[in-house]
Amino acid sequence: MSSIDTQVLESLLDMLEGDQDVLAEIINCYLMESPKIIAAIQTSASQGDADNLGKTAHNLKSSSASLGAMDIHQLCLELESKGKNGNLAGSLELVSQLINEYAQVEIDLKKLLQSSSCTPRYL
Amino acid sequence: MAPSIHTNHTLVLVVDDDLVIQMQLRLAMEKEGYEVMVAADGKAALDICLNSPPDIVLLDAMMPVMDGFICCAQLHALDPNISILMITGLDDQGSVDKAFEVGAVDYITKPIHWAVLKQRVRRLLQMHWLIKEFQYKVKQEQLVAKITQKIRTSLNLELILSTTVIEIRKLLKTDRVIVYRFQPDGSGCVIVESVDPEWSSMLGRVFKDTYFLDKSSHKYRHSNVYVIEDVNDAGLSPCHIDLLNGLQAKANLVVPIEQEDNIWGLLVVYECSKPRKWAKSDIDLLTQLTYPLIMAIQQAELYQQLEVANQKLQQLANIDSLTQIPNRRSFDQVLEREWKRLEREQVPLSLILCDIDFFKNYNDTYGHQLGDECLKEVAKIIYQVAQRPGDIAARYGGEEFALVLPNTDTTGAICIAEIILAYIRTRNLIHESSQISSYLTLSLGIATIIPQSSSSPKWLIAKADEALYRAKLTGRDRYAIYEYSLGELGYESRNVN
Repeated sequence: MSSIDTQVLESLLDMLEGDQDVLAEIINCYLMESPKIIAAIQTSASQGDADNLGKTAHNLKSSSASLGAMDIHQLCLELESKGKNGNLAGSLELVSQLINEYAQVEIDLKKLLQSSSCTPRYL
Repeated sequence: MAPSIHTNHTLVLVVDDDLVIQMQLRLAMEKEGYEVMVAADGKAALDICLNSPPDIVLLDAMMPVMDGFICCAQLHALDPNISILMITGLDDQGSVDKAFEVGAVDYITKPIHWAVLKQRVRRLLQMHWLIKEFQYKVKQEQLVAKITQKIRTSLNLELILSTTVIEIRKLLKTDRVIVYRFQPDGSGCVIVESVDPEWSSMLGRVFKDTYFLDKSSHKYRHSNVYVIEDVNDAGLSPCHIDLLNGLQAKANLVVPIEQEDNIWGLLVVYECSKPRKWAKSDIDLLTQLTYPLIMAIQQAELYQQLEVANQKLQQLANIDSLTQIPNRRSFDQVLEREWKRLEREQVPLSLILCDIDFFKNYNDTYGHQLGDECLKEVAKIIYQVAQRPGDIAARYGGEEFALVLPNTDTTGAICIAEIILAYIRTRNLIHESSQISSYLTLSLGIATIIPQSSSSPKWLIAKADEALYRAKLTGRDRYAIYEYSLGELGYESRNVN
């Protein structure tokens, strides 16, 4: 599970007092919301809409970090910065990295949901 | 509502457009035992705050529609006491500075460290409650001061009590506050009330049953505050529950107002919409207020006694003790007053002086006791005659009486004089030692004037006296008139038979 920082998930589960059902709920929410945001990021990048790119990348950044998807967080950070600065050079490349990375994160998170124990500690 | 520090109810508002983060924040706060509301943007957050103000707001800095900073400023403007915790990016010192500028009390960075968040919220809430409690205490003290001040400046008990119930209802944010007063027979009546229009009024209601009395003789003694948090769950007797249901009460606080060993009345606070867990500060406020209230009641009662005594004194000063009609002092006051009034209005004022004929002989023949009875009889007659508003019949001195007749010209005064003479004749009071009749007779002197600044009441009295003298000279048992318009020669005397 290289795409997910399990420590982050562990501390989230601590906060939830070990409530794995609720953790699953949060992960499901992330898996529901993120593809929409990624599509918006892709559109913004291909249309050269810097302002929107910054905003949409910001949206994905926090939720990804909160679930330990640190690579996505990093990619979003870069995209957000490009959007803010209005310099979109290399952004399409970053978006395609983001899509690939998200595909991995999605797989890992789904695995996590399917595993009967659903306990990050044993991943 | 009173400070919620005394209850476990804490309301947290989470504002974040990122649904994943919003969900995590909500769960984190729910795990802490708080009630949580969520909003996805600043506008929605403001709407929520207007309807149900939260104790703390967790506010994301970067949001669409209305960003966190504008929202924070508007929330702060709405209620400066609201605790706002801003959530900013880790690398964003500018945002942190901006957050404090617009009224946030603290901030936390993303990614959120959950233990830090929970601890920070706990600390902010503690501060929030302390401030609220302090503000409530200040308000409470202001209320006590206000009522104490009212008591110092007013002796009007009803006003003091009305102010008290209004202010208590305002401060406790409750539905109805009353003062109930006991009568000696154990019944009682609601004498003042402040009630939310949504609920029915109890004002003026009389309770004849002994319910309140029973309570007063037991539980209310020794300054006990009687506390009911939920009428239907307080182990009350069915009749007690019926009574409270009839008053739409879901919860109440009853504080006796005691004077020494005597219970004067009750101060009662009702919550009508729902049961209420009363805060200690609510109860303290009421017990704190009973002392100034008792002072006010004592003062007002003393003042009432003084008023009665004053009235009595006033009466003694103005009423002739023998005949029980107004005395000379009263006559002087009325004549002076009417003179001034009629001088302004330029209408006639008449005066009749009236003397019992051969009264000295009467006393010599029948003794002073019967002489007094005779004076009373005559006083009664002239008192009955002077019945129009403004008329006054007074004992002028000795066996002499006077009638002040405002708005009365000579013709009117003659009419009154004739009635008096006719009246005394029909009474047929035996007077054996009178030199003109076998019955008691009167002589009357009439004077009329439209009051002028060049003249005076003294002048009018002198002229009526002259006319009286003339009535005596011309045979008694008659009236004589002095008319200003006739000058010094204007005497006319008549014996009406």
